[in-house]
Amino acid sequence: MASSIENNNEKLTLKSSDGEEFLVEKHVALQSTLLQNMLDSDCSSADVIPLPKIDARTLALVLGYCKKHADASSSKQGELNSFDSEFLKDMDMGALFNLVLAANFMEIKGLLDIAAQKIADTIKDKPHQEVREIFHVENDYTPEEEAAVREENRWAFEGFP
Amino acid sequence: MDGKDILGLPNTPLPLSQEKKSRPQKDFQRKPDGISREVYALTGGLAPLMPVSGSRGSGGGGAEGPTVGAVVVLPNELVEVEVLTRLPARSLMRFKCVSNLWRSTITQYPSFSKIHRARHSPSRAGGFFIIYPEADDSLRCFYATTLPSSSCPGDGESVLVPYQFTPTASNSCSSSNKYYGATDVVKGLFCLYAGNRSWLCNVSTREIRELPFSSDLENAVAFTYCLGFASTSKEYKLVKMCLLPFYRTKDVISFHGLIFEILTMGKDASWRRPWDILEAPAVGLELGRTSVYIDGLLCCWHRGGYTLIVFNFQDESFQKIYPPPKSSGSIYFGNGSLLLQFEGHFALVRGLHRRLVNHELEIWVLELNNYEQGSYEWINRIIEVPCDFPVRGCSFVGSLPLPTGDQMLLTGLVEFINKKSAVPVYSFDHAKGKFEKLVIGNFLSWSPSSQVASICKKDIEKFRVYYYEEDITPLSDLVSNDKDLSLTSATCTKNKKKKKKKKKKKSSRTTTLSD
Repeated sequence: MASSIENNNEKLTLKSSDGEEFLVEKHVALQSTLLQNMLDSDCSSADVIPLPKIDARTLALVLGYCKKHADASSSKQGELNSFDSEFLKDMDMGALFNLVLAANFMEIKGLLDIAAQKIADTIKDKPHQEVREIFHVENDYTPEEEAAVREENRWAFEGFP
Repeated sequence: MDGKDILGLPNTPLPLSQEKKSRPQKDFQRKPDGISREVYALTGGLAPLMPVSGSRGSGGGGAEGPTVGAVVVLPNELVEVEVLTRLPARSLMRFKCVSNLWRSTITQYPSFSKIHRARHSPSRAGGFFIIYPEADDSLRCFYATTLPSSSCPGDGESVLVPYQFTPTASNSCSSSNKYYGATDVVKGLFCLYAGNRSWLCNVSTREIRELPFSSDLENAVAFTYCLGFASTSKEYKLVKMCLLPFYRTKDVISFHGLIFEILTMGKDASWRRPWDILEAPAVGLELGRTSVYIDGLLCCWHRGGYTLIVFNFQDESFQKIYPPPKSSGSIYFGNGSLLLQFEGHFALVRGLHRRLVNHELEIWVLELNNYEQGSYEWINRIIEVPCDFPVRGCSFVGSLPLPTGDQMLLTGLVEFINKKSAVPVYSFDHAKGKFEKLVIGNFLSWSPSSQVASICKKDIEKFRVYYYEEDITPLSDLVSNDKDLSLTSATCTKNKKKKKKKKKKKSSRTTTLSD
């Protein structure tokens, strides 16, 4: 599919928001639709591509994901699935948020899916007050309004404070 | 959605970087807002994340790298589209309390419920039970419970917690309200009914909403309501069949007339009668036999008990189906042989009762190869169940289609009577020969008492099980005939208009029975 690329071993350099540079093989970078579009639209790979929205730690994770998925043959779906779950295991909310932001920005659908799903799985059994804090949502309800909404959905609150 | 919103960027023109990388932007794929994403990537100079003052959330992890001191915040659009749409309905109902904005996202936007539905389609579905007590006329409670989701490995027992659906106060119930019950679950919705009143309920959100009254037929002797989905016009239809012991047309008095009434949700303001009483198909209601709904088709017994009738919800037509031939002597079909869903097809179980008598179930599966031309065939299947199922007094409830294969559901009556607490339900995977025990929690009406066994025996017969897909679409979007509830959302109204236009086009059947 990447027929425009003559040399398969070509590498490109990505620069994180905090100035760290990452040398990436082209086929790994192609996991990102954003980078793919850039390469297709004739950006020379000799340049350093700055990613001002992604810090080094997140970028390292993202590229780890891309490398695994670019290198794995399509027949090893099971192996990739276990890699994905291991990859996100023990990751805290901040890191997951960063991953979602990076995957959304770099347009890496698979990574966006698993990271967002992980966030959803983590919060689904949490009380809503805690969820409010996690997402820094301002509570614009009056106590009465909140109580009314809660009463309407009483069944969903069984077992919750 | 605006790309800038997704990225949480200020809504101001971006200063292009002075670096050499202010390269030819015209080559970049442009976003609708005219600013290519690549420009963002190349411009630099913007803070990567929005720092938020205040204490850190419980997430922790402050020690790592560059996020120290700054709290990561996901832009609201990403939270809504990527995270909230992946949550189960129960969590969403709870998170309506997070903020007004979250509540309106969850409840008012058709596009949100559409993405949610797409993300929760078949593979994440659970099963569903419903039961309704019949013994006490004053009791108008309907219990439902969901099976553990199919993704959980089902080892050991799982306790199912029943939920009580309580229709609005039955002050103006008709005289015929002794006929009450619940319809099949169709795409996550079902209806409760009592006499001429009916309620639409959503399994996922537990929302319940009354529908327009149907005719009050005082001398009716049997009633049933059936819910179905017409997939071409994308409409839910509720069909009411009501049996009159006799009726008068002009000067003639005839016996056993069936009144058919249909309500198309979001379209009909009131119930309509598609057929004259003399033309209506003679569906057998007297014996309270079950009907089975699959993918826009409803199968029920003809009153005579020797043919089946298949009703098509899309074009509201009927087709007659003859049961399998009485081949090997002892096989007898008709008059109430158990009708059920098996691997996505209508099927009949040999014999007259649900109760297992031996460890082999003989099932005849109806293949509607070419429904439009009326061709069909019956395929014989023998299912072996574990030997102790008949010993435990198991009754066959039905077959639950799951992505991993059908699960046959059985209840253990003998065990229940001995324990007097909860009714055990077994889920049996006939392909693998494995079964697991699920336990239904205590239902109010089932508290141990002297009559408990006799009440429950009847109720167990009414156990039904469904597979459903989560759908958080508010019922007001389906029931447009309550004017006060058409809400503020202009999109809803638009959608309805569109739907109506579509309806005019054609009503040919495009659904096929899934495999």
